[in-house]
Amino acid sequence: MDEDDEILDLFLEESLEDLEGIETDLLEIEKNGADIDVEQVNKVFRAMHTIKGGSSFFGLTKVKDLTHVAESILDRVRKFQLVPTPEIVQSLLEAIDHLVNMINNPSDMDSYDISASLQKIEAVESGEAGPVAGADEEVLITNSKGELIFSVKQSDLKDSENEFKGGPNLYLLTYDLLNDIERKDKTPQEVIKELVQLCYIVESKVDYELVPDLENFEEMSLPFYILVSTVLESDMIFDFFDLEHGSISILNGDGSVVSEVRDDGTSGSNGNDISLDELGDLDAALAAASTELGSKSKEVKDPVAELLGEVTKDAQFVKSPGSQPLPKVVDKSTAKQEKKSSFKAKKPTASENVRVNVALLESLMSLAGELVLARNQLLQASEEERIADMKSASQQVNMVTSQLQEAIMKTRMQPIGSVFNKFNRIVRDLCNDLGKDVKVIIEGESVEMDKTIVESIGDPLTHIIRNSMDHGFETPEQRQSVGKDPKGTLVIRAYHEAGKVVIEILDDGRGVNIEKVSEKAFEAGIVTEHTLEKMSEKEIANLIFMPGFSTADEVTEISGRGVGMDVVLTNLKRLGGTVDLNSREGAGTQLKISLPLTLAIMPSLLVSVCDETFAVPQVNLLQIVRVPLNEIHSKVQHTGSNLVIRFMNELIQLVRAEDFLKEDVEPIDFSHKSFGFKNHLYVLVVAAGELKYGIVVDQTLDSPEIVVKPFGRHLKHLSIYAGATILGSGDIAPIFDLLGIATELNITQLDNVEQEEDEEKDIHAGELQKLLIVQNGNNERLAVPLNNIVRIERISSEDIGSVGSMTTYDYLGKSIALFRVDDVADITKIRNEGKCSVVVFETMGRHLGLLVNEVIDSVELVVDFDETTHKQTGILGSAFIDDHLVLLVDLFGIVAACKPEWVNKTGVHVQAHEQKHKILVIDDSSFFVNQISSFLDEAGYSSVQCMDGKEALTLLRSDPSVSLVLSDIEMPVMDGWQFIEELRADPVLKDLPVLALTSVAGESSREKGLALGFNEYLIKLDREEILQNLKHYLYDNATV
Amino acid sequence: MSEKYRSFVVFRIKDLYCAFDCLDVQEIIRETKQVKSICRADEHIMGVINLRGEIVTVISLKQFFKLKEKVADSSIIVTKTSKEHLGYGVTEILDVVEIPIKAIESSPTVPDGLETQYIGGVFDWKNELVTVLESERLADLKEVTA
Repeated sequence: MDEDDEILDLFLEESLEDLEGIETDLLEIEKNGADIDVEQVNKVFRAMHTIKGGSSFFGLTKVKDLTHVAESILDRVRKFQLVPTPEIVQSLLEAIDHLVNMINNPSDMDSYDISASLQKIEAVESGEAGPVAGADEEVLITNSKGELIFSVKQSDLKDSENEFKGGPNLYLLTYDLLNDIERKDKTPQEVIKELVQLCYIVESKVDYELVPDLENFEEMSLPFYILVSTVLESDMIFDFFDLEHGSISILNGDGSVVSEVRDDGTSGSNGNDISLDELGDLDAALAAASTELGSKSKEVKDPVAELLGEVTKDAQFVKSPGSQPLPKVVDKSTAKQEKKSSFKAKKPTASENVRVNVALLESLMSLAGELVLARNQLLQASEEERIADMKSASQQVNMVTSQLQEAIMKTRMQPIGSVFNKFNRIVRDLCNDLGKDVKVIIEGESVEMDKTIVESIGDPLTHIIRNSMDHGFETPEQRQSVGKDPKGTLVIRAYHEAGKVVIEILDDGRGVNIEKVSEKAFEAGIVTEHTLEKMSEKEIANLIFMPGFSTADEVTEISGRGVGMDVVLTNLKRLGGTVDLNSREGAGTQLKISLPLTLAIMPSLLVSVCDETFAVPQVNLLQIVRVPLNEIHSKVQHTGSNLVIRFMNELIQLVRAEDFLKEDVEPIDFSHKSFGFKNHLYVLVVAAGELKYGIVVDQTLDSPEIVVKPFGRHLKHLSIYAGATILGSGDIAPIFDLLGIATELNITQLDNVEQEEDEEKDIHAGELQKLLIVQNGNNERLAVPLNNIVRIERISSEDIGSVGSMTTYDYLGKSIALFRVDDVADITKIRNEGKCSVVVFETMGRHLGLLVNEVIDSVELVVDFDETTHKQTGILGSAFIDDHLVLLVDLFGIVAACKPEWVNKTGVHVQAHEQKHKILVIDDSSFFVNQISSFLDEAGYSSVQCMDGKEALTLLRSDPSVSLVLSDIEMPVMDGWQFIEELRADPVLKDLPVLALTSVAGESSREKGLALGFNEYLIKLDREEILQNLKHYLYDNATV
Repeated sequence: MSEKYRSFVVFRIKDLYCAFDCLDVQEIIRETKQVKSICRADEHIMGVINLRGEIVTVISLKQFFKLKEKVADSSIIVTKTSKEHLGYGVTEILDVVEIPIKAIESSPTVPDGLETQYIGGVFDWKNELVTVLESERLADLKEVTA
């Protein structure tokens, strides 16, 4: 029994897997329409066939019946007899829904009602048969009592005429295996042999449901139905078939019963009693059927007699297009109800299994072997107290455990495609319901994530997509009226970025209506008028994630039911994810969700507060800031009763860990210069969703990977903890839940910050730069663009070697050349003794090192560089950062000045005799324009400048001599995206090479850039790369 | 025999004699050093322990009975409930005894406001009246409302 269950489980699980892919295939088949991809249809057909086979083996009749009809439709599709119309695909999809539901709930399978779906498929099949194959209806054949015996294709009946021994006459023979065969001392074989001599057997079956139980043995029969086609006429047939009266029915070509053959050899109408009720039912059927019958009954001389025959046989009319509309409407509504309930149906046992790649399993096995080996070594060594061996063995254990952990984690990784694929269907269904036309593009299905995450993102994503379908996309007419492609595009894509998985949902709909959102948010009391005024469009758009928010004017079935985007956000946050919403009104919306790869094991930071250890998830940790005691008064400020600290140009609230850990904490001493802090501060800058705040802790400790364990029910209600973990020492450390802490302490985004921020934004209209701040000598600060930097090494002066006049340093086993800024520029000399740092950077195809005294900080900020005052060889300009004068280092310039021969070797410079190309540089920052122009000049190009895209387009249209454009992305008036779009649309300019220059590098923006038509996407200030690309596009391509 | 007798772990909470049915007890830990207190937890929660990788909450029984005096708990009795393991800190563990079922009487009094539903009866042990605590129900109890 158990074994059977196991096999059944296996079958159900496999069936589910088969079904998973089918939906997508079916939608593809629908899309292709008459252009049938036989291989694809075959794939679905095979899946159906497999399930059918298995289900009949297990006696799952309902599954078998459904798959059977689906299979027969598909069979005809692949034989080009049927065009897969939307109706057909719809009926198949519904059948698959039913199959999935039944397979998911094997115990309820018997009570499951599939008749509606079955009927629908049959109806669709016969109804839509026209286009390719001509009429090929399913003919239902009944016995004299009106019971359905066979369902045979019209074409099969026709074909049977030409088969061996076949003929124009059809008969339904009913043998009774008990009376007719057994008692006449015949065997079934003999009977069948006889039959085969006389006629062609179209179909046969034994009605095993009527197998008698012992008591009623005498009265019962075991009918064996045989449908035959033969040349024998009805008056002769009784002589040949040794049967009792009533056991032979004469059938029409269309399968309807003409009459029964009596034992006297005459044929006539069978006088069954018909109740009035039955007659009433038949009325409607007759009305529909009568129109058809005239043409159908070729072989029947008298249509009226035929009609009568039908009535007496319980109106087994042929399903035909004429009789379609009524049952179809009914089907749709019931199917809809069922669909709804199927959405609620929860996953059962079948998904409790994980499929693991065999290779991965093998590697697990071998790792387990290694672990055992290492354990034995460790045991032996510790028994004999051999310390050295113990150390090496424990190292071995350490290594194997890490590998084992990694391998086991891998077994939990599942491709996200299983979630994505269902969106094809959802969007398609919603398109039908909402009258919209949207195309789905899915990318990155193979990106893998932890099983738990994959399983839990389905609902939030579905919600987002439903929202986007309902609110985001316009109807085709609306789209056309605003000049968009009437078919909308929804892109769902997943990719890896910075150790996380990013899921992007892009639509080209109408975007978030900022006005409407602010109005609704104000009405719902989410924001005040005052704050609204100060909010950026993006911030307003993000209000849709607030609890209680809904823009839908009316509640539709699709969305606006009060389950808002806030639930989506909460669910995603629970998974450790963040959501970013970007929207351009009229152009579309981008929703970017980033999620951790796994939840079970996470990197953390251990901190100590009041001599106790706590873990902070590193996903939430932005930075650790140490504030020396004497700087507290300048760095930490207070607003009202809250402490605030400045973090990356933003004021964030600062709380003490004691505030939420202890009940009776001393209040903050605002009169005191250092706010009562007696020591330097360790501030953890954390992010809980969009909210950032700082936590003061006593000490930061280790940063181990931890396993999250839940608290018992007596501690679950403590919202400040996400659980606890067991440390290497066996001690327990509670894990902070940073969202919970924020809620507990009522931390909100600070209101007064925005104002200051806005002011700052006005001052620096420049661009966000990532810089590494280093120090030379005692207090001269330099900034190095972070993009060029490969690594920072802390070394002591003894590590520096020299070859000839060149200083060198051993970096990863290779000797690299070291440069100093003071080699070329007139700045403070570097201190030569003690510790110093090497900033390893890459330029001209080699790794080089910049020697500095100390690395201070890495910053990401908007700065305006002054490119005149301090400009000299090796220095690009200067700026004030954190109240210090900082000189921006020109790495390329330094190397070029020290080793001019290297520059020429890379061949990026233009030979003198070559034609001087004119290059247009577009950038709103005059600093960058000047920078780029000057090195273009050096490299032998001439350049013209523009401040924004609009200006550039005007210039390009009037000046055809420009041979290449270097364009910034973020610009006022017209940004780089719009510029390239307009340029590529211009018939004259569309082939001009345009390289994007940006300080914000990201795989997604790079992809976007290339997709829009930029030839390359380059990082600003990486001169070498820019020059090489210029050469490539201007010279290498010129010959092509 | 097993039908006629029940085994109990008899322990003391200050001077109150109590017992758990042995069948409810997972194990006994004869120290409380490893209990890690949790900030902001309710007062009757001693903290948590690491029971072979599982984090088990430990409840101080003396808090149930509002025994505020400084009596250090010496041992933890880890009980099995249908949902999880739960530890109880007690002053002293005295004995494991077998008591004839007949000898277990329904409790005449309720010690310090502890509701009857948490008490499974009383029995005599070395001339002391021992109250049998129902660990499963006790786990649902937040704190004794005196």
